[in-house]
Amino acid sequence: MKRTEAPPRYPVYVPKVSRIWWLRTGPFRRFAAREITSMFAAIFSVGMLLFLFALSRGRAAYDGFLHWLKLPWVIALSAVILGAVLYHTATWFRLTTRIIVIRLGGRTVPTVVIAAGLVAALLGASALVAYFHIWF
Amino acid sequence: MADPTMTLKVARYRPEHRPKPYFDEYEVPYREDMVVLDALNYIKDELDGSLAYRWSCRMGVCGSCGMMVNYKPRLTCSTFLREFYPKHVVVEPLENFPIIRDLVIDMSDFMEKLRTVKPWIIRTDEHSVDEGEYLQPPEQVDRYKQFSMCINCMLCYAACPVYAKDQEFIGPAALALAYRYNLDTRDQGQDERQQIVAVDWGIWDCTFVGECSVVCPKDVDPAAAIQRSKVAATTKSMMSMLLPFGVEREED
Amino acid sequence: MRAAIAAAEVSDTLSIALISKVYPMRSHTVSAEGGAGAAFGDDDSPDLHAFDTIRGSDYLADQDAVEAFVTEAPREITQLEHWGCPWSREPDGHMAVRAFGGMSVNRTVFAADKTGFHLLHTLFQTSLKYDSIVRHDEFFVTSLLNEDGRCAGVAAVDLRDSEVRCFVAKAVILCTGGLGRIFSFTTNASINTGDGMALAYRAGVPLKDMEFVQYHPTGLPGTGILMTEASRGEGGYLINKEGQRFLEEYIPSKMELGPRDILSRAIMQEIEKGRAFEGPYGEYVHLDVRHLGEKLIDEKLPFVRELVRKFVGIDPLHEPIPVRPVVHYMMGGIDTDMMGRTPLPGLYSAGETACVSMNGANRLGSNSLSECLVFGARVGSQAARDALDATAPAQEPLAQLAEAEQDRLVDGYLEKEGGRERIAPIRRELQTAMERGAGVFRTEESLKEAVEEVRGLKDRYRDLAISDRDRAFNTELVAALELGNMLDVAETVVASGLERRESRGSHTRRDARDRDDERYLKHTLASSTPDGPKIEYRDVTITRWPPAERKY
Repeated sequence: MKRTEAPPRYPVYVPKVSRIWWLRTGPFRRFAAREITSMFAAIFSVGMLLFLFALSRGRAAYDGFLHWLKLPWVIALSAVILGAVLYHTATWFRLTTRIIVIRLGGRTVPTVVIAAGLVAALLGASALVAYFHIWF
Repeated sequence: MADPTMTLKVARYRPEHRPKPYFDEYEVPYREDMVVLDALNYIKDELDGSLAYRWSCRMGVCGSCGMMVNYKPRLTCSTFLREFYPKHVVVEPLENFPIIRDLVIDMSDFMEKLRTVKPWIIRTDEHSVDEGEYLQPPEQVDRYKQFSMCINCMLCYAACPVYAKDQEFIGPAALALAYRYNLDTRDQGQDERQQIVAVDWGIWDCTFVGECSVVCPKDVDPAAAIQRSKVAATTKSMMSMLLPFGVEREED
Repeated sequence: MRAAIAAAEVSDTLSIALISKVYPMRSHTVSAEGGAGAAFGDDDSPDLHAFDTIRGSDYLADQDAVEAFVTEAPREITQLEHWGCPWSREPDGHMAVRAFGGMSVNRTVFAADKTGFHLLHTLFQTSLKYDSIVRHDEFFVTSLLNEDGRCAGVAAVDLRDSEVRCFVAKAVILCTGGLGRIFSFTTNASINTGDGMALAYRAGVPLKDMEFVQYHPTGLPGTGILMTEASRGEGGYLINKEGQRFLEEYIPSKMELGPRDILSRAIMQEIEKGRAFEGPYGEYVHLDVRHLGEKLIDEKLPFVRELVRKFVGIDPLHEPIPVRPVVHYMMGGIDTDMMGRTPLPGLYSAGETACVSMNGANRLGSNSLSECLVFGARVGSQAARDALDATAPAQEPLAQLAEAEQDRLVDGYLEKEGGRERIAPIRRELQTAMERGAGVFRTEESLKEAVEEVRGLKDRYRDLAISDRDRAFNTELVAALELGNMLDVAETVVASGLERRESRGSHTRRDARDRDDERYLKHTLASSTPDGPKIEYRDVTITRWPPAERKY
C-alpha cells in the first residue's frame, strides 16, 4: 500500500537536535552514566592485562607492579573504577531482567528471581576470587 | 469569587505567517476532571479558532492526540490538568517529528516504517478459511498479546534519542510490531522479518535507553521487544552457522 | 478497509484509493470493546442468529439481508483470525464466545475487551500487503462527483494545503461511520459527524430509517465513554438507588442481557421515578462488577477497569460504576441493497453509514463489528466486479466539478467576507436540540420543535465565518464542513422521527406507545428537497419470520 507522493506546499518545520541532549533529562543523564561507566569496565580490563604482563616479566616486575598499586592515587583511582563498575553491573542486571524471558511449565519466571540469580552469581564468583586472593 | 482558571502556553507554527514556531498564551477555566485536550478544545471553540491539533476518541485508544505536555510525550486526552494546577502547562508538538502546523506533526515517516516491517501474517502454507481457525491456546496468545497493544501514538518516537538524531532508525513501535508478529504462532515469516529488522538502522541502532517503554501509555514495552529481537537474531545467526542445514523454529 | 481488501482480492488490476479524513488506525472502530457476533457453536445456528437479530430489530430488519449476514459472519470472523486478529481463546485453542444482549446463545467472539481495536489494527496491517490499495490520509471528501446520473468520483480537500483534488472512479464506496456527534452526550469520537450520509443525501440519495438512534444503556456520565455490554455479558448487574436490580420490573427473563433499547428505556424510567443517583452530569444508575472478582475482570474486562480508574477515579473491583444511557449507534443510513448498491449507480455504502437494513429499529450488541466485516467484504467485491465491467468516466467534466468545489470552499470559507456566526455556538445548540427533541423518549412537540430548531440553525450556518484563513492544515475548515454535514443529517433524523407515529425499537413516542405494523412496518426514506427532507416509505422484506410481538 503506497502513499501518494506530493510535496508539501507549505514548508514543514524541522526542529534541530541539541548536541547535549543527554544532559537534558534525568533518564537521559542516567543513560549516559550507564554508557560512560562501561569505559571504566574497559579500563579495569586494561589494568588486568598490565597485571598479567608484569607477571610474565618476572618477580621484579611483579613486585614493582604491586608497589605501584599501593600508591595513594592508584588506590583512589581503583576505588573510582570499582564504584563505576559496580554501578554499571547493577544497571546491566536490571536490563537483563527485561530481556531474558524464561518459561518454566507454561509460566514465566518472575524478574525478581532472575535478578536474584544474577546477584547470587556475582557474589559467588567474587567469593571464589577472594578465596584465591586472600587465603590461598 | 472568580471561577478558577489555568494558563496554557501553546506552541504555534503558522508557515504562512511566520517562518518559525512561537508560543501563544491562553487562560482556560479549570475543573478538576478536565484533561489537557478539554483545555485545547476550549481554546479552539472560544478563544482562538486557528489552533490546529489532532484528536478523536478522547479515551486513550485511537492514538491521535500525542503531544509534549511540560516537555514529556503524553496523550492529551488522558493527561489531567489537576496534575499541574495551579502552575501553567506548556503544550508543544511531539518531538523528533517535522511540524506541519501548530501541534500537528508529519507522520508519514512513521507510517512508512510500519509498512516496511511487514506487519501481517506471513504463511508458507496457507490454510483455507473453510478449514476453520488456526488453533492458538491462551498461553500462546499471551506470548505476544502485550506487543499487540500498540495504538500507534508515536510517544515512543518522541522519547527516543536515537530517532531524534537518526531518522533512518526504524523505531520502537515498528520494531515492537515486527516482534509481535514473530511471536505469533500463526506466523511463518520470522526469517523474512529478520532480514528487515536485523540491520544497522533497525534493532542494532537501539542502545536500550529505555525511555520508549517508560512513556508508552499502553505498556507495550517496545524496549524489551527490541532487545529480545536482538537475542533472537543473534541466536538465529549462530545456529545457522553451527547447523547450516536448518533449525527448528526458535522459542523466543 | 475490509471493502478495500475485498476489492483488491477481486483483481490486482484495479487501483483502489482509500480516502480518509484521519489516518486509518484512528477510525472509531478502534474503540469498540465487546465483540463480534457469529453463529459458530454446536448449540447455535445461523437461523437462530437471524431470529435473534430480527426480533432485536423489532421486525424492521430486511430478512433477506439478515439471512445473508448470519450465513457469512462465521467465515468473516475466521478470515480475520487468519489475518492475525488475537481473538481470545478456549483452553483447547478454539475461539472463545461470550454472552451478549438479546442473543439466545453465547455467540460473541471477542479479543479481551478491545475487540474493535484489534480488528481495526489487524485490517489496517493486513491492508498494507496490497500494492493496489493507495492511501490518501487526511483528505476530507466534500462532494460526490456525479456525471450522467452516475457517481463517478469524489472531490476531496487535501488537509496539508486545503487544495481540492479530483478523484475519478468507476465505483465509490462510502464507509464513514456514524453521526453520534450531532448529540451532546455520545460515545462517539469527534470524527463521527455523518459525513458520508450527508454526501449521499446532498447528491439525491435517500437516507433510510434515520429516526432510529441507538442509546447504549451504559455510558459514563459527563464524558460519555462507553462501558461495554461485555461487562454485563460477563455477569455485571444494573442497580438503582435503592440497591435493587431494577430490570426485574422491565425484562425479568433477560435482565441485564436484554436488548439495548429496552434497557435504555428502563434506566430512563428509573430516573423519572426518582430511583436514580444524582450527579454533576445528570442522574445515573450503577453498573456493578465487583462480584465478578479480580481474575475475571483482569482477564476479560481489563480495558473497562483501566477506563474507570482513569476517568472516574474509582476501582470497579471495589466500587460500582456510574452509568446512564448514551447515544451510540445509528441504525439508519444511506439506502442500500444487500450488495451495498445505492439508488445512484456507481455509489455504494457499507457499515454504520449504510442501512441495508440489517439492524432494523434496534441493533443487537456485537452485530456491528460483524456487519462491518460481512458487508465490507460483500460491497468491496461487488463494487470491484462492477468496476471491472464499467467504462471509465470522462475526466474533464469531473475536473470542472472539482474546480467548482475549490471555488466554493474558498468563497464560502477560506476567503469569505462578513459572517457573524461561529462554529461552537451553532454546534452546541444543535446538540442540545437533538438531545431534547430526539432523546430516548420523544413526543410530537419535542420533534416538531427540533425540526424548527435545526432549520433555524441551518439558516444561521449560512452566515458562518471561520477565523482560521490559513491553508496549511486548517482544522477549523474541517470543523465547519463537519458542522454542515451534521446539520444535514440531523434534519433527516428529526423529520423521520416526526412522521413515524408509533413506537418501535429505539424510537419511542410517548404519544404513540404501541407498535403499529399496519401503518409502519416500513422503512422511512428521507430525500433532500429545498424545503427540507421529503419522507416516503418502503415495505420491509419479510421471508421466514412473520412479525410477532417482541417478547423476551
